[in-house]
Amino acid sequence: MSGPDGSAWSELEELWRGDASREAEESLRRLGARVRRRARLLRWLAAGELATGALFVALAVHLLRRFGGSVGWVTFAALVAFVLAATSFAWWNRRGLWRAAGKRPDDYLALEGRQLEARLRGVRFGFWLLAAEVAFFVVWIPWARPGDLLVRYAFLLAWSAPFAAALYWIGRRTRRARRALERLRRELQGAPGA
Amino acid sequence: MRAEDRERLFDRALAEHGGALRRMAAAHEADPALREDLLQDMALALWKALPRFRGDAALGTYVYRVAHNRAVSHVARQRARDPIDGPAGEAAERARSDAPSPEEATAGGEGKRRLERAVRRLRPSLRSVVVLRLDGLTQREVAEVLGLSENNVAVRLTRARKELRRLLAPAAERGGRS
Repeated sequence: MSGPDGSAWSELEELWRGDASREAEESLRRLGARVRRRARLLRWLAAGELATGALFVALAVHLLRRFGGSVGWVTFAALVAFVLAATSFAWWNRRGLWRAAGKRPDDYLALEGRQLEARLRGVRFGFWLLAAEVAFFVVWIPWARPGDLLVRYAFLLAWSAPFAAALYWIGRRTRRARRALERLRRELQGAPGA
Repeated sequence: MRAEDRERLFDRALAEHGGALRRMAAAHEADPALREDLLQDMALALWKALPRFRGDAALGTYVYRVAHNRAVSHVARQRARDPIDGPAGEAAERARSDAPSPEEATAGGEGKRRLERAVRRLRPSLRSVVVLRLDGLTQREVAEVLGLSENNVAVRLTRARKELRRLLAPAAERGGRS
């Protein structure tokens, strides 16, 4: 920096960078270890997602064996259809969300925006899937498990209501995040003094 | 890129630029716990991005770019969670900024803390430029990291310095800079 502020700026630079303590170095080593653990965890999470899908298919096979006949086959087909729909949508919805289109901050903000849009799509899809599941079980319960209808419907409601509430909450948060992102994007893209 | 090359490059990036990551996190997040989260997110983003590092830019520039982009995303997410617009938000930011992390407390870096607080109060568009310049990047490197023209960086830097001087002035009047 040149001009009358040069020495003051140098002081600020010195102050800014003066933290090379041994403790800081040690914490960076710990950071490296944490990051490697998180990278492994992310791989396990992806594997866990596939395993959950497989678990549901196994459950469908189990129900097919247990009920047999038309009830068993319909239950099996419905569970497999729900799993396939959820898994296919999840993979499709992630397209283009892994990397920014370029290296500029704008590209990363655009990526962040696409990720939020994908989450909103996921929420909408989640509502439809939940509605389809509830509709299916509303019909399935009196057909496959007649008797104690009130208890069974109450169980269905207790099972689906938290999912609906969670989806609503995620949707609200995501829309708020999208508005905040837009504000930040305008600030960063505006004129230097904007 | 082979796994061992990635490991080696990651260790080198952290050893050479870990301090810069920590400073960038401090410039964008006042809360010590969230700052640690941001630092970890930056390092994870770097880990994921390293296989795409082709050596066409300096490793430092690449690290700054990845870290800065992650910091911008963090600011956007935090604003959505905890909007800091308006006087109430500014007061909250000041209160959070006044709480030193254990590291800061042991280092006794009051002057540094005051500078970090002032940098955090800059608008994001000015803050990014100041952080990189304070870290010693040239105007051209700052332009490369932020995807701006050098001229734009110069204009932002002039405004940022003016703003920074204003933000630091009351503290200087109280007891001088450390």
